[in-house]
Amino acid sequence: MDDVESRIIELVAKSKNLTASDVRLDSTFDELQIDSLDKINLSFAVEEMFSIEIPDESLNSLKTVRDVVRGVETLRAAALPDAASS
Amino acid sequence: MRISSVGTALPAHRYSQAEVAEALLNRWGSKLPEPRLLTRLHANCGVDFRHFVLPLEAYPTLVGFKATNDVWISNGVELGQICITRALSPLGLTTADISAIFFASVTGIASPTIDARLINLMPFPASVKRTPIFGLGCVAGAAGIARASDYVSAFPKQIALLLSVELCSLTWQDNDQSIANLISCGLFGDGAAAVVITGDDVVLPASKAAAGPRILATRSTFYRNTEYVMGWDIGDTGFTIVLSPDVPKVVIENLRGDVESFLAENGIGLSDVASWIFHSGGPKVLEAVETSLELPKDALKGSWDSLRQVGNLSAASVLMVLADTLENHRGTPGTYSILAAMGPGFCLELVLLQW
Repeated sequence: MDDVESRIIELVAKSKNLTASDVRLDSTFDELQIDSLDKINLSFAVEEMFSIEIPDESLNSLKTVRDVVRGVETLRAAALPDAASS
Repeated sequence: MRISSVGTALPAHRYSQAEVAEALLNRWGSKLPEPRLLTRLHANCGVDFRHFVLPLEAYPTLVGFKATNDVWISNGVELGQICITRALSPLGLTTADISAIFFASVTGIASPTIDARLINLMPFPASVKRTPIFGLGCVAGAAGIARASDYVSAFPKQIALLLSVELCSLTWQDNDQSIANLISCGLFGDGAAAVVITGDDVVLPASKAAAGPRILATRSTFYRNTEYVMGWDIGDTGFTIVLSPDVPKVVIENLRGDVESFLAENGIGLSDVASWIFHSGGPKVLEAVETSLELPKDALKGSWDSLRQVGNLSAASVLMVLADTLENHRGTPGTYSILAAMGPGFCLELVLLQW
């Protein structure tokens, strides 16, 4: 498990007073009883942790922990200087 | 008895979701502990546009319940008149042909009620029977059709009219920055709809008599001890929203069983229902309905589209979806549809239709 995955799993677990072992990459927010408000609060924590800005309208498409990991990786990659052009 | 026509009316002021969020951010400013919570909630309501009876900049000038409720009365009468005319005209009818009017709203109060004020403006017969309905909230669109069908079932030569006017923007509360109110301000819009329900012995011109589906059966279901799920806390400044995150849970726990037993009572099953006309409650409610009934993708497209285009119009929402179904997605003869809504109580109203 890479660093982004483990940190997001920790964050999700903490938000619902769970242990990290209770949360899998394929856990759905419904399974974890994370409602829309929880998801928004989680998005603020993810933004702070990874220094990224999550587009407001993207939250509804996030259904699993893996969706969050992929979203963070995409946003972080987009924020990096383009290596190919440097 | 059948649904013969639906007329709808939306107020003139139309805004994108981002415009509404910006106006609320300006209006509430420092009252919001985390402004991004509002924009993020609004961006995920499944709503793109809404119509309001006033321009956004006018809402802060409405102070107190009286001023707000007066706007509800004047605009309710105006929108009611428009959608009643739109519902009756295609059938070659006028309000003189109406024997009973059911008026549903949960966003303002008046006595005499809006229907009475319309009777003074339109040529309803003096003998028209009035049934104003307050408090059913979002379920009143489906329940109103059900109660009007009860009426024409008893009086099959008569025509009943259901009118719903919901001006949800007039319930925004300046001193309530609760999550429920932030969601409410992002979800609910203004609009009105009228439905013509005709008895079995009513003779309309042949081309128009078959215009809508027959109402085969209706069922009300009350969920005991769920008062906390949805409603209003009514106080000095008007209506303050009560909206629990448990709404989808109640749907998941109850809807399928209730729909299946209703259909079974009428000799059919879930697979016999060709289309679903559901109240556009919000993304979480619609997702819960899809999950509960294991509906195929796009089965609730009409509800999702309505939510996106005008927001949740409380009782008028399911009537908007019905209007779109009548205009663009009629069932083939013999097929079944379910029209349904849930609302404060908490409760469910089901209407079985056959095309």
